[in-house]
Amino acid sequence: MSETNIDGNTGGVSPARKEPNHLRRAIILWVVLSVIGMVIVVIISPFVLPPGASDLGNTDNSSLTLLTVLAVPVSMFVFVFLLYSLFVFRVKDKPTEDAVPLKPRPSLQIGWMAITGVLCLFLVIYGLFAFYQESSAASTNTLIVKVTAQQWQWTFEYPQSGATSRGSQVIELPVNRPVQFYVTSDDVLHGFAIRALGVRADANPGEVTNTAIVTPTVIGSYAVQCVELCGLFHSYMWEQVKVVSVADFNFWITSQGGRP
Amino acid sequence: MTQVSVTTEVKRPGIIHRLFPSVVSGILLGIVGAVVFNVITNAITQDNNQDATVVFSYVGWILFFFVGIGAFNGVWKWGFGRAEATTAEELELAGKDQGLWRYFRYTTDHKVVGMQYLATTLFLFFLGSLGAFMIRLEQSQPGALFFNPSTYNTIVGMHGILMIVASIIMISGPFGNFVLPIMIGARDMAFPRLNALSYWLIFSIIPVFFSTIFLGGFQTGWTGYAPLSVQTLTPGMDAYSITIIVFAVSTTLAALNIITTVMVLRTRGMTWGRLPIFVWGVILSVLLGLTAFPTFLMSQVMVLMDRVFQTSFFIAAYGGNNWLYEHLFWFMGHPEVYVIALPSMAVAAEITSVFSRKTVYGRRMLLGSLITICILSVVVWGHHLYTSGSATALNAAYMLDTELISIPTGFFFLALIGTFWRGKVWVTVPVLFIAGMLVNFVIGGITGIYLADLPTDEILHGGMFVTAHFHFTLVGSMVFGFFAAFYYWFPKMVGKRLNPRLGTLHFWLFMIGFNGTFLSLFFAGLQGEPRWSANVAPPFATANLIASLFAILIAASVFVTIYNVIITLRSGERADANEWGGKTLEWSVPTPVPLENFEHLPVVTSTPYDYGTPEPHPSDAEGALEPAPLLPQEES
Amino acid sequence: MSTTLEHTHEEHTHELAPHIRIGRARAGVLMLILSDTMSILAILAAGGYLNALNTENAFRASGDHAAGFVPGLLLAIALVVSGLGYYLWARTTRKNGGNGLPLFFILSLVFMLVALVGQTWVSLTLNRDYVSPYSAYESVITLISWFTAVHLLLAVIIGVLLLGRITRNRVKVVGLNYVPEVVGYWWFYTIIGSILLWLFSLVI
Repeated sequence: MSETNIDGNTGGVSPARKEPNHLRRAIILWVVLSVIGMVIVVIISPFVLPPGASDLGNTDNSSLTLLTVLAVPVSMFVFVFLLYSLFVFRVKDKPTEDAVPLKPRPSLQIGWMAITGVLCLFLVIYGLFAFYQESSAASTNTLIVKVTAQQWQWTFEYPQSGATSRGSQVIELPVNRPVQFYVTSDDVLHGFAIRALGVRADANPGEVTNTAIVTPTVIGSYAVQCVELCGLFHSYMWEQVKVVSVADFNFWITSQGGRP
Repeated sequence: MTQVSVTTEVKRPGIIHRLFPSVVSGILLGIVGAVVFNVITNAITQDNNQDATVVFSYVGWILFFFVGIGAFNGVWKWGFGRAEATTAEELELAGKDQGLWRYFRYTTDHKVVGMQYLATTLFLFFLGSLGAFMIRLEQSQPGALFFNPSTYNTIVGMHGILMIVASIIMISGPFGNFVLPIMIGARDMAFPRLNALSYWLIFSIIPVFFSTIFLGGFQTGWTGYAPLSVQTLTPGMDAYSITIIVFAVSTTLAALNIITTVMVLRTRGMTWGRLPIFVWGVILSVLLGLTAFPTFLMSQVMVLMDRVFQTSFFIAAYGGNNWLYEHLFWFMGHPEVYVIALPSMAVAAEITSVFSRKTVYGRRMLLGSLITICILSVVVWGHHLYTSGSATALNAAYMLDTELISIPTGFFFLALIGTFWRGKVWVTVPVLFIAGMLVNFVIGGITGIYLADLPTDEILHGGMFVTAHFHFTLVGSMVFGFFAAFYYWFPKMVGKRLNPRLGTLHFWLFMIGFNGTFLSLFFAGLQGEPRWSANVAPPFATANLIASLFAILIAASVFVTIYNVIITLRSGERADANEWGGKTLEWSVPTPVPLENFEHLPVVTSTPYDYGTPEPHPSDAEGALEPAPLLPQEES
Repeated sequence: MSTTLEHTHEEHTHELAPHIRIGRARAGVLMLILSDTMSILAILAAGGYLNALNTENAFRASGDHAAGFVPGLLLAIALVVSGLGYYLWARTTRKNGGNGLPLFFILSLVFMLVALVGQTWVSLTLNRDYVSPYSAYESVITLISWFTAVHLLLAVIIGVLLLGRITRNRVKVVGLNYVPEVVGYWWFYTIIGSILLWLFSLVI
């Protein structure tokens, strides 16, 4: 991370005593553990994260993995240097003499700020890029689904085909067709979320909030959840969304009283 | 418990004089006031407005409680008394020669107030952790196990408020009152009566808050989101709002008192540049609270108006909007996180320096980063509203600002690691807690980045991941910081040594239990478990069961602490006046600390971190009067 | 921390030095004002935000109007007179070393009392025209009205206490004449804040 700076830093103070080079040891430890940690994150992340079932879901999962990979060296730095200090520099009893003060080097501080700044800037730009990519994905063929929350159930409308699904029914979406949800609420604040598709928006009474346009890519059955505390049966406000083939969807929407 | 009463020759005050004014007369009169207001409100409101009755009964309780405890005596004397209070009267009010009974009166001595805050904080933490354990019990398996959803939501809300209130006061209250004035070389706080008032305000809302159990509870969780809070029929919600309003007043008074104390009562030579970092942390924190809490107060006034007078601040059908509540709430809610964090981070720097026997690495850099965090945190609240749809255009700005905070936070880590590095690290219980704090703070801070970044927040918002994240920052980091401060200053405050073996046991049980619990909840959050679920869905059952099992360790750590405190109070060893070899002023006064702290006010000649340098000769004291000559070896 | 113990002039009495007393009073009141300003800002922001959102076009119910303009203007004038009275009293106090003309203060307090009574009357009569459940606009106006009334009540209470001190000839505290100045901060702040809220209620 900032090896040169730290090297320079202790160079100023390093005493004439015969001691192992603590800094080199800690840095080697840090590099080794970071590399191991990053490899482990890449290997296990597919097992920890639920599989993405849409374009957004996949992007989100890779963002999570990327952030975690970046997080490994940062956290390892603190862990290694902290635990190294606690184990190597510890004294048994109340110390009778003081330690030699470390002189802060401006170069270290500036270097530290530069590294955290670059990391931070990278994350912001990355986030903005992903965000605008999602929110500006225009499509001519978007399926609109109006979602209305109320205590404690969801109502789904398909205005383009004139169908409504109310109550504890399973709703369906066609695979590989962009879909956008217009979310609102009849009573209190609710949160509309389908984790596997990577969509989430608050359902505000009196306002309509749009989710990003999402294209489901994997046929399957996914959970719709309420993610804002909305009263007594908040945790029971679950429904299912099925992503099905276009033919199945057309059949289903007709059965709901709409036209395909 | 610090001062044994030795009033043998003085005439003993009669029982009436002892009880009035005191907390006993306060409670008695408060109950009378509540009943009177209840009857009057019932008579005035035609349509049996239950909320109005409850709200005004609480107002009656609070007003008359303060009449009974004697809070208005000083105000009355200020206006209509014949003369100013004499020194003898002030000392009487400060609890001179009143033994333990002074802890139950409107006592102005800052050390008494500090002990009252400490006892209250521990009490609230205990009840809050009881709530936490009940939540883990309910979530250990899918389905409604022990509680119905209504009870569960109330427990979640009560756990949240108890913990938030306790952690807001946990450092600025006990240590900000007891230690801070001594640290800056003052004999008391700037406004001793206001100091007592700020404590007793918190005391007065504890029964109000717990009355919610008997009034049907509240469904909203600690955030109290409107319009759910307006819609809630049970008057238990009113208890929540009143609690918040009074608490906001209390923190405001405490804040202005602490800031004024530091501004005007620093002893000679205690320049701003020489102020201990702990003092900086506390004043930055309370300054933030001073500006943040009024909006929370107003939001609860609006909720009460909506509930009692049928106004429509948050009712969409009549032109209100729930976004208003969210903005008012989070304008307080995010700075509040730093109200909790800043003093804890400052404590960490203080303790690290003492136990490494080494000056704080880059002290100015650390101070600068604390100040930067304080400023940046005022304008980050929008990241709680990413998915709300209220200001989508501003999301990018909020994201930038939120992630900027990681830069000064990075400096905090640099400062602490730099202080430990090559120090003479004396690993005691406070140091263990600081180490735990740093480890947990890394995890809590980095998971904060996930929530600050728009694409990942999109799948994590409102989920268990958020719960795990803020528990890592608030509990894993800041409450660990509190316990470090607790073990560090307990010998000074109480005069006895907490058992270090039990302290170490406390640390390991807490650390392992905490990490086990909340790392499992991170996993559940990544899988997509929503927050606030009374009924755990089957896919998340295993992670929740593991979390609940680890919570047993946390529960065990709570009882270890209680046992430790009890045996220490009963038969602990006497602590030294300077138990750890610290150089801040509180270690220079005897234990127990005498009533006015200093026989002679000290004159300060350097920063309190000058380890490893020769002691400045007393004859150098003249130099102290010039502003801020910092340590020569510090930051060339 | 290395310290030296030495005697300074303020030590044996344990009394606070004059400049500390004055600084303490100033800082305390100014910070109270800072915090209270935040709550006024919260009200202004809430009113403006709800107005801008105009959720479901229901911010105003049909026929919604502010509290009467003329009563508001009269109250504002009463407040200005009260402020003027206070200013004159504080000035004479400063010039005469603690013995100002009490008449000015009584004038100030009476006008503050008039404003309080008037504001309470305005708040109570708002209900005559507004029907429950109140629209968001009516909610904001009601809040502003009662919030102002509570502020004026606080000022009156402080004024009565100060009147008590004046009648007992205790304006000076341990020989220091800072009370008129410091109470004045709050007095003028109350007046400015109330008028500001009134103006806001006109433009919203």
